[in-house]
Amino acid sequence: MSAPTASATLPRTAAASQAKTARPPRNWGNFGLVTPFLVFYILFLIGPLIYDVVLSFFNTSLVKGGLGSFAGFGNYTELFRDHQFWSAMWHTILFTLVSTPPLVILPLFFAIVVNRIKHGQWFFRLAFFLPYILPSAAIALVWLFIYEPGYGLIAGFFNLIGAGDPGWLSDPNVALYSIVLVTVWWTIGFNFVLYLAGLQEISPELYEASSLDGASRWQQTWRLTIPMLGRTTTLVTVLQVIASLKVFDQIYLILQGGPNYASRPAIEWIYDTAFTSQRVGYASAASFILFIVILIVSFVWLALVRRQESGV
Amino acid sequence: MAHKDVRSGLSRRGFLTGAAALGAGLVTAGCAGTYDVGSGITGSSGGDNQSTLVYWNLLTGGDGAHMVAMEDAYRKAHPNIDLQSTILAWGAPYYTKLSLAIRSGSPPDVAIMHLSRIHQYGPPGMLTPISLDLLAAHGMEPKDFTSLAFSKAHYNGQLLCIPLDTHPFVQYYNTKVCKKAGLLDSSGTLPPIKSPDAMLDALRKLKKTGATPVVCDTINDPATPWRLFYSLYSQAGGQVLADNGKDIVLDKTLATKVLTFIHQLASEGLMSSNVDAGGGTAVFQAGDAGLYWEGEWNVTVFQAAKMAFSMQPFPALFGKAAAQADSHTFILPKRTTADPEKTSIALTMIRTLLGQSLTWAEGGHIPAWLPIRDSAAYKKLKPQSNYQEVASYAAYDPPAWYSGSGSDMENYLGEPLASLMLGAASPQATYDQMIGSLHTLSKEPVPV
Repeated sequence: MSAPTASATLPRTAAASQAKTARPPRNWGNFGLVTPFLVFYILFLIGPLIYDVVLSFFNTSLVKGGLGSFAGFGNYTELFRDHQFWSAMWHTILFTLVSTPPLVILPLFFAIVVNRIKHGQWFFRLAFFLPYILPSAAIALVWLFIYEPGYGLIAGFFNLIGAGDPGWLSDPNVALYSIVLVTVWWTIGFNFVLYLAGLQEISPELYEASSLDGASRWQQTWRLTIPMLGRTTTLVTVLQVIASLKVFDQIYLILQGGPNYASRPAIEWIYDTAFTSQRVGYASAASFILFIVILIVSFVWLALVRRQESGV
Repeated sequence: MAHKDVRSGLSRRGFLTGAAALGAGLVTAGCAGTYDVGSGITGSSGGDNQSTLVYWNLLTGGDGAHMVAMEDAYRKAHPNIDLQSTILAWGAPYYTKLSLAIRSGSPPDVAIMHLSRIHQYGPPGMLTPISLDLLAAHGMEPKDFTSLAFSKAHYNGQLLCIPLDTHPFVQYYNTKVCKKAGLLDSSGTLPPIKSPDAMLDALRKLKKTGATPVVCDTINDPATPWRLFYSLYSQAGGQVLADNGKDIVLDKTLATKVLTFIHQLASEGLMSSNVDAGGGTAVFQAGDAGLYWEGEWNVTVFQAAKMAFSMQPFPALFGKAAAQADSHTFILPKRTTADPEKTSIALTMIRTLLGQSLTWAEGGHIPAWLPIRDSAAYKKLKPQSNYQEVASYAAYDPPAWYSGSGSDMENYLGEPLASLMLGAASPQATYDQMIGSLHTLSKEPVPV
């Protein structure tokens, strides 16, 4: 999951900046300690990344051996003129823009409410977190049944109140939002747990002090809880943006990117191009561009966190 | 906040001991070969001193069950061969894995391939050519196969695959609903519908009974819209591609005629398309629909439901008889070093499975193996044998490196067609998008 990796990079960069100023004597034993991690990091992250960049300069095919003919920047120039790729990129961005606000605000709301519950809190924590542990394939089956027109779960409800079915899966203008709904229900638990942890770190003394000063419940939430959760909110937002930019499973499994490609995200385009069209080189160029976009977002997050840290 | 001291009933040491005991148990079970759990986890096949035959297919549902029954018949007849069958997800995921397995030099010994995929696997030499002598040595002759499928199994004059069946797009009809609409003849069958107007007429009569006139799914399934279009367009005598996919010859007049007809079905509310494959089956099974346009492979579902239905070739509305179809075929993926002994085992296995074609035909497919197709037992198999003539005029996907079952072409053309069937696009817009996609596909660098 992205959370542990993100927090793991922080201390490392902090240590690096420290090394620049203080220069402690080199202790080679430390390398031994990080080796297991480093090996996997190089093998499964750096290695494939370099391979991807190399492939992006060749007309590599899935079904022919070798790298194929050298393409230079051909794949990249073709990519910039490929409207299908950019429409897929737009779906990914639109999905991110639409899914991030509810996935930041709703868990915050629910976490604050659940944190107030004195008895049986475990039940609500479990209820919110449970969908998150389900695999995407199970989610897809459940929601296909819910959305299915005619005999689906909510189609029946819509028919009951006499409203037409909104074409959850068949209307090109609706399909992506159907997926947003699925995703909110599915992944809300993760952000919810992060907020809950953040809430429990706020010292009770602050609430005591503020109520002595006459602050109402509402004022406490608005002026105390939410500002104190600032760092958690930043973390949740950026993890969410990165997760949303990587959307693939639920769209592929529920809609295959349809109807008429109206919901196909960038990663599915990359998958289709590499594995159905068998143009691995071209798809590598696209995945490198997506990588750069996600990298930029991550750097923005780092900058935000730095500013917050220096502000405190 | 106060830290709560959480103690569960299970101590760490207790857990580890238990886990170790469980692990040891699994290993023992694996060695003893009593339970599949152990061998599944350790990855061992369990068999010693046996020749193994690795067989990949993409058959699930009813097809999968029939194939397993056929495999079991083979295992019974050849107990010294360890047949390892692997089922993978249909469509692009299957073909991706197959390509990569062949590329990496560790392919299965035998695999199922759609006949229409021969133009992707043939050119880069990923399949082992099968000589007619070798074929004959294993009890198979060209005259034993449906001629159309067998001739299409060649690339560059070489036989690259052995057809098992022809599986066309057909018309299912609910006999109860159709009778109510007055469409059946005295013998209780639906007489062939021979023109677009006759079809519209029949569907309107069905609509009057309050039923859904025809179901044809679109959601998450671009192949079905493609099959509908290509069936009708082939009837009109249209061609889509020429010169192995380098040329686009989609005829605007013919295509527009077909697209306008489909559009009319949607706009008049005669066709229900807002369903996925499972949904379409469910609507027909529930007895809510008069006709159902789909591949023949759902027949067992409706038989199991004991509903009143029958099947016939997809009606020839636009001229000559034609219906989109494909064939499951057996292939011998190319290996780095030839292994004549393995090839022989594989061909024997293929011959044995062909002999089981009656089981296969129960699933709806028209057997390519003529000794079975011409047998009395197959003729008695109803409604499966109603549409066996389609094997002689089946419209296979146009040859190209980007066409075939589950391919880019089916997806890129199926998606706009789905929009048309849902009433969300005009015939003109659909045609434009189709032709645009075809030009994009044909201009991509040839990856094979």
